[in-house]
Amino acid sequence: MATAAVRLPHTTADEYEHSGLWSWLATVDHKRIGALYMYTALAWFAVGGIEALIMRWQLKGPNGHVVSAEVFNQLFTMHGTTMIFLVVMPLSAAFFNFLIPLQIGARDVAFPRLNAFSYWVYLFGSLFMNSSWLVGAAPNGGWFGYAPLTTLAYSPGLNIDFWMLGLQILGVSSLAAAFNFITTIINMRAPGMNLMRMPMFTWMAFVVQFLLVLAFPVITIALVFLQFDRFFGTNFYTLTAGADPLLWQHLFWIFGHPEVYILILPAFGLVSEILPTFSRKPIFGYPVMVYSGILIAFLGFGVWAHHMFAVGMGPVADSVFSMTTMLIAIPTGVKIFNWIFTMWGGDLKFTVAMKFAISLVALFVIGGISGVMHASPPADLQQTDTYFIVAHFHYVLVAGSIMGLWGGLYYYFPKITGRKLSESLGNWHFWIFFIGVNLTFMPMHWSGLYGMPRRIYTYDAGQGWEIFNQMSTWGAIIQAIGTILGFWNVWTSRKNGEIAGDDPWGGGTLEWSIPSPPPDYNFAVIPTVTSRYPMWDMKSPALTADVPHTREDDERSDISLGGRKVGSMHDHMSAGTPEGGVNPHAKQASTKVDLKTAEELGIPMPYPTIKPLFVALFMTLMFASLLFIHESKLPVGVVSIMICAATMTAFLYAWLTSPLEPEHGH
Amino acid sequence: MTANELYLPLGRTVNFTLRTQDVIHSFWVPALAGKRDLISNHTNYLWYTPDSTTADAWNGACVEYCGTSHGNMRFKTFTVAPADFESWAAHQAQAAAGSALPAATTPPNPALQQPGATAAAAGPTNPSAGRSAVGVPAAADSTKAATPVMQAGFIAFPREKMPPHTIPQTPLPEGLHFDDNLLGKGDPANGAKLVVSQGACLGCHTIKGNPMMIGVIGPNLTHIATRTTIGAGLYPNDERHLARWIKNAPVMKPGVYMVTEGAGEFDPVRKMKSATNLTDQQIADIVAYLQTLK
Repeated sequence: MATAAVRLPHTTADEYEHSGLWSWLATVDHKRIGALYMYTALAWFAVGGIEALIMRWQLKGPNGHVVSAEVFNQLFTMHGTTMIFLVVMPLSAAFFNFLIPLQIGARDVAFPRLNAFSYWVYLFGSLFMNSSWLVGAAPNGGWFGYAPLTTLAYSPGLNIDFWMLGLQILGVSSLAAAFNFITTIINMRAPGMNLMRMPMFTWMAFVVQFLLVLAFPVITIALVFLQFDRFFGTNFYTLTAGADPLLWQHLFWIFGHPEVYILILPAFGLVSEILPTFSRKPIFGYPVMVYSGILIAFLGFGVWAHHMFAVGMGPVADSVFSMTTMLIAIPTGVKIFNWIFTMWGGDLKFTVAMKFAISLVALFVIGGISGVMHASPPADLQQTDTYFIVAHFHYVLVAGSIMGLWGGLYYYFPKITGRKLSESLGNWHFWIFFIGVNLTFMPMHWSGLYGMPRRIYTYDAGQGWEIFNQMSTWGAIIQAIGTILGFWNVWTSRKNGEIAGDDPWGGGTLEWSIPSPPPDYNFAVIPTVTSRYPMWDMKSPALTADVPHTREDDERSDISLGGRKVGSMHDHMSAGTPEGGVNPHAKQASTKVDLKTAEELGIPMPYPTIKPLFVALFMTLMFASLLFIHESKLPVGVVSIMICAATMTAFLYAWLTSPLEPEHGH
Repeated sequence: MTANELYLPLGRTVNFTLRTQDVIHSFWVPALAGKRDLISNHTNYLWYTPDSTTADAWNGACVEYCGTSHGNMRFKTFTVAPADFESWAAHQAQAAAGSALPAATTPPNPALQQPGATAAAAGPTNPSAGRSAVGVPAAADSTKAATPVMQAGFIAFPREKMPPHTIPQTPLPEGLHFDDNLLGKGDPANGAKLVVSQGACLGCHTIKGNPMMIGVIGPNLTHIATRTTIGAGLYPNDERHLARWIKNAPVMKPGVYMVTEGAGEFDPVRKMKSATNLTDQQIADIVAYLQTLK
């Protein structure tokens, strides 16, 4: 079995090329785009990890001199920016891309070409921002870029320009994807899948898209103000013109706090998929899990100034934000309990994916508790800007998000590639990573409370910080070893992993009903969903005995528009039915028989096109051309911007006026 | 006026008025209380009663990322008995011993070398003359050879009582050499001349009592000899460190505004060779002069 070649998401030959570079550059298939996001994000994960390792080597002892102060400041800026914008968000996007259509029973996202565009913008934006290393001008204002330090007066070089433009480019990627997924989830669910039957991951992803839509414009505004100050002489943040630095801080954190929920909710969603499968039980308290996700997102917009307890907002503001911050611990805590109750009494199977998921549940509690400690302004006046905060956010981001994302990868790799990741190598990966994470970040609680500030490139001896820093450095190295094992697992399992069938884990949701890897059209027959665990309904009905189900006369399986019934499940299911008919209740196309192509099934597939790539490329170059202005080459810059804008518009026009897919009549 | 050294009286509530001229910083003495940011174009206040019953020294630091040497931006806080605080505060308001300008050509008169020499015989502007209410005697004439005049009354926390963790252990950067044999033998009179001429110190620093030294870009040097650290708490204030600081401050502390003064040294911030070209001997003289500024 191990000798069968792995099949890429496009499995059989038809009129479109399914392999080779062109097929990847021109793809509009959500599964391929998800794979692109995954591999790119893992590459940036390695870069961000190396940045961290260099810093940790410098900080392992007092007065370290591995790198200069200037380079260290660039390293911590880029480590934060990379890990947040180039790793965790795109890894989440990889899962959004790959999973959402499969989980809701759709054939692709609502706007496949826009989907490709989002990926290419991410790739080119990330390359642009990191090209700053090549000119020795990597961003150095911290990932949060406080004005006035980032204004021209105090950061005259190109460093902040790279950061500011890079983030704006990446923002376009996230916003486009958000609109895409919102439309997909609202409009393209399979019949019978009402909102309260959507899988947990899709729900959390849905909530995250709204966070993106509402939060990214705010940072865009903050960055546009900075851009106009730095390039066009405005005075939004200019000190000498009387600007108030708190403008930047408020705008940034109104984005920045929802951003951290953008970072964790997808991992929460993945955990909510993994735990039920490996407990052989439905998620405990599904409605409350949904509502708590929505509440976290909603409350997440009301807590931002807890990042600003030290700026002197006054006791009223401090108290209000303190209360809202404490409040948001409640829906989060509810999730923790529900996950525990999901496992309680279940038939537990401790696969690697399950270990990562349980690890998130346990370690996120640690990060969450330190987070709630920050919610008290008097306590926070000791904790803020110290390694205590660094400990908190690394627990929730690394021991939280990253653990969840690795768990998701171990869980879904078989679906993506048709092969499982090695469980034995995975166990090494998990345990070494787990030990490394805790050894790195637990001591930081102590060094922070003993007064070690953050964002310092070195520290003096005799402060009592040495032992904790040594532990953190060794922990980081252990983390790196674990992560390398994970990368190695991914690399080797692509060709040598155990062949997985459609449903290697006994999952309950729709993605497990189709072949691994899925054919380009996903579902030969769009299924009708009868509960929130349609696969268990079919295969293991005892598991879903307590879950609400569709009865035969349940009107929810009818398709209605504005309250009028306009169709029924039978009509919908006939779309794409192959000749000779097919079992209308079948929920999978068997991998054991010849897999039919989209053409054979009469399913129109979108045309591959490279136009989104070129629109993304020229948009990035257009932003990048602004740098010429700061290099005293204004005419060059203006001409470059005009050429790039014109080219981008030409490709965009071609994209918008070309059909998505062949004409199909019914 | 002090720089990176703070004295607080025990048992009294202190209210800090926090202002910054440039970017955002944050003021924090971890062992004493919480922090407060200094926000540009704002005035912030932080008040607390230092919870200490004995005179002690505490480490403080800037804790809001503020630039290249944010990690080097530190200060000392001393909690002292109230009477000592009053004495210190009054002393800070005065010109330092040795701050007067050197007389133009008159050679030093050994007969004048006695504590309490009247101001009339000294150079101009010696405002501490006759002010004995708080036990600070008249400053000595700066033209005489530098025997530091012992000030009566409390003017500085005794160095021997500082706990080890408050004494900086920052290593000296490699590649910055200084002939330490010259230290301790510098000529403060020559040093006094150099600070207002070739050294160009007057462009950035203030020394109260010296009408030519009124720069406000760098720290106030009036009482520098009483301070325990230099370079914003980065190095101990002694001749070895002070000499190297003057010779090439940007190498001692990345990104610093102070220019490289030593002959033949390269300034990594301005990216040019030193323009002031002070020799090691001249620097030793300046150090000797600065050591008189108590």
